[in-house]
Amino acid sequence: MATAKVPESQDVTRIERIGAHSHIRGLGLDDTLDARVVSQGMVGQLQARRAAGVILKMIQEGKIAGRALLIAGQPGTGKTAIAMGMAQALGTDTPFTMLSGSEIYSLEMSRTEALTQGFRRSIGVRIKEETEIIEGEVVEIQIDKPASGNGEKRGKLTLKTTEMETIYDLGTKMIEGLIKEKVQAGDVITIDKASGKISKLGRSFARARDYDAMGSSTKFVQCPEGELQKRKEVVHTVSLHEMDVINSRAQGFLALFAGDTGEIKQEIREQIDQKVSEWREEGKAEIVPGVLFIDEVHMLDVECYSFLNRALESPMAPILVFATNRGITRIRGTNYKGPHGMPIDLLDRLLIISTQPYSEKELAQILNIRCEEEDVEMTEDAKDLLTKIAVDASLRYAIHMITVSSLVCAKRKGTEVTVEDVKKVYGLFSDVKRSTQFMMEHQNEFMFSEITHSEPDAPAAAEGDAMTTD
Amino acid sequence: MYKPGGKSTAIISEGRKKVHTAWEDGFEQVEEYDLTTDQLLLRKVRQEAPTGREAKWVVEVGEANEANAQGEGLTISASSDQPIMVRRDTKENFQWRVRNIPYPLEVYQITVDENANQIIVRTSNKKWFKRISVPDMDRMHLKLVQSNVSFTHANRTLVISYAKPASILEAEAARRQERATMKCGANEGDIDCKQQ
Repeated sequence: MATAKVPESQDVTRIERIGAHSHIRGLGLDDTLDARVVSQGMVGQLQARRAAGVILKMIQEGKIAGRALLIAGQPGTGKTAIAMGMAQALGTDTPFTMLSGSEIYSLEMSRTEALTQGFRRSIGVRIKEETEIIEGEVVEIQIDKPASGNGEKRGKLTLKTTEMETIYDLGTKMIEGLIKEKVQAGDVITIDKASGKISKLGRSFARARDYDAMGSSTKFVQCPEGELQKRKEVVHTVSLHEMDVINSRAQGFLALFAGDTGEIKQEIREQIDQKVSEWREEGKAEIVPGVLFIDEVHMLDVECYSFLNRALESPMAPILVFATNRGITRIRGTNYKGPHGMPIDLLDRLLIISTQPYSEKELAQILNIRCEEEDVEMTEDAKDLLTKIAVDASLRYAIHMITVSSLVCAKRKGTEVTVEDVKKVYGLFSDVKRSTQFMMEHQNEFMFSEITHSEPDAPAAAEGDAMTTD
Repeated sequence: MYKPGGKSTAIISEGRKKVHTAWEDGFEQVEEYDLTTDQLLLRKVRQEAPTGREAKWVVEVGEANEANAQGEGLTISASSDQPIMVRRDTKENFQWRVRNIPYPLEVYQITVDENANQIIVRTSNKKWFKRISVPDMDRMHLKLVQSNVSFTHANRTLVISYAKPASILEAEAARRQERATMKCGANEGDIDCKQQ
């Protein structure tokens, strides 16, 4: 009986979208937690990254469950990037939940319920379990479709190891799975008997000689030994929230797929907590405190803040990471102002990391990384121009220009983006500063400006917060 | 008995004496003995699963006769013409019967793996392979010995026997005694179903 994880299924065709932070692979720290100037997609912000690294170390050692961190800084200074870096560095085993401050406002559940769910999503329970798996090389796979066209498909699968061979009867669900995974003779596969999950391990070495139509990603593995059916100990991590959902519904774990979880009763949560602590004492389960990241935390209102004050003190709280780009502003739900739009009593419980605006050199490096990420070739001159734009306008605007100017370049069938392409794009799309400037000059020509300002009582300024950019 | 302790209850039904034992830590065992011959017909055990879902019984001796025991959600199961192994002990031997296995006697090689304390069945035509562990022996920390293994093949069935060592025979005799004196919820015959 080996302690091993069930191997993740290998995806054959992986298409990943390029997101704003897809170039980040970690915090870019060395072993002594010092930040390298350019590493893992991170540039600059040495102080902030080092601080985040220290927190990360504490998280990994399980020391700071129930504490909170605030990343504050101007827009476009890498707050979200640092949080993403933390998530990447923590690995897939530690739950990391990302939430935007505005996501908690829903008509279906109260704000505190949404926050509680976020909290419980960020706490993992690692459970050891034994499962039965079938592991072998596919000798033959035969699927019969009924002649009438509808009705159940029937199938047979012959699997072998170095020692034995067995024919299996397949159910419809398994047939679908095999077709979806494109399993064919010569593949080495494992099937989890309980869940029916199929994973392809690779192709058997015995088939290494038929070269036909094989991608470079094809992996060759030895034909398994011994029995086809084995018992394996697997470790899997579920979050407390998933356990809540499973136990709050009559249909069991299917509730996870039903969407709409609604509110979960406090009694159920208490039961789960009790059960988990029992397992912990018996050594059956282990608690993994994760991270709950709330971006745009100034969007929360005063009720949420007071909830957070209390929730932070519960023994089952995860590590909270907030990010905000606000200075001193009105706390939502009150008429008081607070630094970062947060009340002082909560701020007092936080460790605050601040990010600084990037220097020109750092901006150039970030743009360089983004060019690579988006697969855009660019001349040095064009890069210099972009950097200048990033300094004058904003980094985000410059990053947007990379893709657009590469499209302009492709249009004229060029291979490398030149200064002309960038200039053209700069002419086509205006940035925030130019747009604001334009507005100042021409706002009288836009709609609803017929009434002049001489009128004494203009309608009150729009309620709520203006659009944010982070 | 699996391990010391546990609470046993017994009933008699369908010509079998059924003994259920439960331990504090969520471990359960059911044994079924023939009333007349006192032969062990079925033993199954289960451990409470940590996720709170229903744990599955693991049959150690005999055949599970529950409906749909093989289907398991109708996803995948060995074809019905494939070899199937069932343990059926006699008084002196642990015995395993492998049905649906047509190959002649000289194909089988049966050895004892001393490291894993298991009996290994190999076929020279590479059609069937099995590691057999004997929980009874493991529980008493006894080593398997090659010289106690014997096997025969007839009517598409391979019969593997392992002579029980003296200490096992003693322990079983003691338990037989215990069983004979055990109080049974004797519900042989009609159970009175009270109508509302």
